[in-house]
Amino acid sequence: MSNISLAKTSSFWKKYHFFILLFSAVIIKQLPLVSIPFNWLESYFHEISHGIAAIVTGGSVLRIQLFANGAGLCTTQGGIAFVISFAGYAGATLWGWGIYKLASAHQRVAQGFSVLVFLLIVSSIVFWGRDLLTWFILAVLAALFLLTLKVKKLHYLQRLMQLFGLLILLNSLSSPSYLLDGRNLGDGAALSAITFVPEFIWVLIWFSLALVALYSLYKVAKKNN
Amino acid sequence: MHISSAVSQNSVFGLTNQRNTSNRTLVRSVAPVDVAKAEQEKLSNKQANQRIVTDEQAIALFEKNKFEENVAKPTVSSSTFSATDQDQPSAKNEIAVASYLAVGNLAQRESVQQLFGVDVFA
Repeated sequence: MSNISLAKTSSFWKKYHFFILLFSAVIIKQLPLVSIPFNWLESYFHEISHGIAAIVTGGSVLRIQLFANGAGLCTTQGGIAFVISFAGYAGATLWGWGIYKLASAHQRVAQGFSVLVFLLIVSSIVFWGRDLLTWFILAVLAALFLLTLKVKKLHYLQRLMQLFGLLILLNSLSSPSYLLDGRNLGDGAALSAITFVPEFIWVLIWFSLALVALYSLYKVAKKNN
Repeated sequence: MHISSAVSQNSVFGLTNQRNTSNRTLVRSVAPVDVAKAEQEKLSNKQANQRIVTDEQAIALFEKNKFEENVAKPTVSSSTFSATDQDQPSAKNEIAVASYLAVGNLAQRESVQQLFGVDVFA
């Protein structure tokens, strides 16, 4: 009898795990204190995307700053300004989508990717963090990924990584809308100044990208059912 | 110092004028014309002598004052220079400070140039 119920639970989980994780992510995002480190996570992947874009386009990263309210700054030198500006929100979406996809691929891949992200955060502390608050936030994020590595069953690590991926994706879905505050500040305003395309178009593009990424994960989850 | 010496000079010249006038009034009232002429010549010589004497005194006093001034001047000027000397660096030091500042400015200029090439993304 218990075997039957266990099998039923397992099949339910397999069938609806994407929706359960998505629902969990939405709930976590609403919780006042619990949501804070996950906001930092999205902020970090946003800023590191600016940094990676700067390095890829021939520039360099001078400093990454993270703030308690989930805001962040990336100071770069050189590189292509258009690519660097665009990479923030688009990169965060890509990170969220990538973490979920890689964690879904295999348990070992999820573990390896977790190690990679942990090392990236540690090197960010060493090379680009310049103030106490940023170091603290990055240390919390590093501890978060270290925690996933300490999980005994790789199955749970996989689920945790998927949850992180969805949280980052949900944040990158909502955060571009903060740019539409009429202050003409941020990446949207920078891109608008470079291309003369209005800020809300860029916000719409980033929102669409995050929506497409979420939809692609949903399609894969539905296909597996 | 200067003021007191000037007063002493004036007082010397003032005394000679008073003597001259008093002598004249005496001659006019007693002696005839020739005698008076001779007397006048005598008096004028005396006056001249007196003037020379007084002038010499005045010159002596003037010279004395001048000498005192000259003696006093270097001490005053040396004391004022010594006060400022303590604050004013030597030319050699000034050159050293200027070259040090120039190097500092170069580094500052470079950092400003770097700063202008920096982009901040939020």
